[in-house]
Amino acid sequence: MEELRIRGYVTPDDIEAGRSDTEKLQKALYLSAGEDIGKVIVDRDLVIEETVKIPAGTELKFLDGVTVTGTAPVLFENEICGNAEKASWSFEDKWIYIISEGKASLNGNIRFWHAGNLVIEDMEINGSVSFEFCREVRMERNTVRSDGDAAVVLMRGCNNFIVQYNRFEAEKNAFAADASLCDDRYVMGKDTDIHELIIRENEMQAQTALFIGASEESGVFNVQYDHTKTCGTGIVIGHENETLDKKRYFNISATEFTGTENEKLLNNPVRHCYFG
Amino acid sequence: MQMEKYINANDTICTEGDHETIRAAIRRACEDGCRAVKIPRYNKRTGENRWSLMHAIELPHDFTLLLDNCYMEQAKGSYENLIMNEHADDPEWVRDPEHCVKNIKVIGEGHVILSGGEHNHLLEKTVRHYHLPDSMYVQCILQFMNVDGLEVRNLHLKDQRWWAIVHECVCNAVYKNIYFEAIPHVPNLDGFDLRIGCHDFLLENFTGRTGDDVVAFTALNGKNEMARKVAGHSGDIHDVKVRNIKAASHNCNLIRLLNHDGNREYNIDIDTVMDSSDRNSFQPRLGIGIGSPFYFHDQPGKPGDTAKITVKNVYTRATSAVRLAHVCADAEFSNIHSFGQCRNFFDTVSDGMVLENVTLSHLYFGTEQPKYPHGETVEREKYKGYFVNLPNVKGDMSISHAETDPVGTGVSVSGGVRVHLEDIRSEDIVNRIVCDETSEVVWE
Repeated sequence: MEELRIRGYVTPDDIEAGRSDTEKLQKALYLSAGEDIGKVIVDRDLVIEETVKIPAGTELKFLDGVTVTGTAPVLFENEICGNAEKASWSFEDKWIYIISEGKASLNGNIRFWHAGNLVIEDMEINGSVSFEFCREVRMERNTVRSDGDAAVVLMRGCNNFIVQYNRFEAEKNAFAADASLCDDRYVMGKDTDIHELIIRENEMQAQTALFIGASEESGVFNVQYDHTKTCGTGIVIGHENETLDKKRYFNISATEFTGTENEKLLNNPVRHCYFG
Repeated sequence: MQMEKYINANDTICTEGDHETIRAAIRRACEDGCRAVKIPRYNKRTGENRWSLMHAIELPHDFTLLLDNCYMEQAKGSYENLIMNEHADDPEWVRDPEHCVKNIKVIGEGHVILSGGEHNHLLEKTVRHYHLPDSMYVQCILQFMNVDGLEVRNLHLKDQRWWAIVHECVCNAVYKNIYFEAIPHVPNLDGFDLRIGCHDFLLENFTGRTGDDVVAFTALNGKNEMARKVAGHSGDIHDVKVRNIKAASHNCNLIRLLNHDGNREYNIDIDTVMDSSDRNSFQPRLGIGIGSPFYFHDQPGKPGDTAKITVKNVYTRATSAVRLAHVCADAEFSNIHSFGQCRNFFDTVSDGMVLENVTLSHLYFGTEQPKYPHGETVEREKYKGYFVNLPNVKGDMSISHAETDPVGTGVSVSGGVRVHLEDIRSEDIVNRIVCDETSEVVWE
């Protein structure tokens, strides 16, 4: 163990032989967390058959050229995902890094619930990435391709995101910030609005580059969206046939993006928004 | 012998302490030629995941400090910075232009925490008292003086003892991905400070919370600043790009610009500032604060000293969204949003401010009027706040395309200023224009 601490990271192959890739990676993550090593390096291709949970305080690093393929609906999620006992502000999973040294690929979906201080950098993700009740997130220089509706989804309760220099591809929405969506439990002590998003210098290939949606209870505000290259509609605010108070969408700025002739579509009144 | 990629601090253990261990690693890295030291998470000397330093890490020229998922702190009872360039704490040394240190990198990988640790009781008001040091320039987490070429990335700065990051006469610097975490238990817990003589900086992705200004550029000829000013160096702060500041300030400024004493501040480009304070915490006093009639030593700033300032994409609940409080020329403010408890959108507290070619466009003044305890908003006659408040100001300003929530006063000016407004939409303004006989307001 001292050796691993001095080395500074755990790899799946540090776990005893004869185990599946899934077990090795999960045990490596738990070992790293349990011994406070804080880093797991994936240095070869893996096939993952069940959802792997990432503990708080983990840097999960993939070396250049590595491919990790998941066959379960969710490839990675933070450790407390789905745990009702942790649905309270103070039990948030914090400080999770998913980064690549070079070009590494993940084939599968990634999900975060009730997590904070997350970094996803330099990854190629063939799947979607979703967040619910997450805050302080930075996504930079990733490619996210999804067969589904959206490449990146922010559900209720997400705030303080910086999303820059990425490429997102999906069928319907490249990037969706929709406060009406929920997948897991409500977190006591967190608000359900979506706010403080900086989304810029990205390439978004989908029918709609950025979709913003609210609900009766939860709004979306303080969004800076600019310098985006897209082939679809640049921004859509509001669900079809929606009739919410305009205070549900305020302080949203969308400027300097290229789109089709429908550069923006407002399905609901908005307040104090700037479309340049 | 083949050069190493870096020297691991655990390979140069000194029993005297962590500082000596790291210093030995730096020495070996310089001898080896790799000029890079890695501080890992695990401290082999102590068996702990912590590096506790009584003395500063001093970085020589052309040097890279790699911090790998580690926790490093200023030790209990220490009176030295955590990381600085060589001899940065020696004012006589740093004043010599020949002693410029070039090309330093401090790069974090994973979760790197640099901490002030337990506070040592040295405050601005206790300097020289109780046998404490005579300068606050020993309290920083990062301090760089007379440096050309600096890169700092991916750090979590926690519990700073004073200003977390300080520079004087530093140029060609890049800072990215800095997270501040300060509980305001003592005053002056700024995040990032540029002092006199700094130029050509890029700041990007600053987040978290500070106990004072998040980012402050202050070009002043104070005693401490002048003691460290490089001979022959201009005191101006210029050519600084700021992007993506998404943080909370405790009752101070998200971004502050201040210059006097013949020092200029110009070519400052601020793009996207988001106030991440929430209703339950202290809101910032100012979103963007430029200038002050106070703090000068030799002479107050003159018209033109603060110029070519661009501020865009600001979102704040600060008491005043934008405040210009001394002189300002050739400044452009666009896409400024306020919300929540913001009371005044654009104001000054200066006496005799001069504006020259200042334009504001696409402004969104969100403000909440006071409510009675039972929840009802006060009567219209009691509406508070100003959209624009410029008492005793000279010069000219233009404002175009604005939307305001119900507010007490639209534009209040005096002192000879000319304000031109165009396309201003409001739900309700109780007093549209308040203007003395020397000033002029054209509202189209």
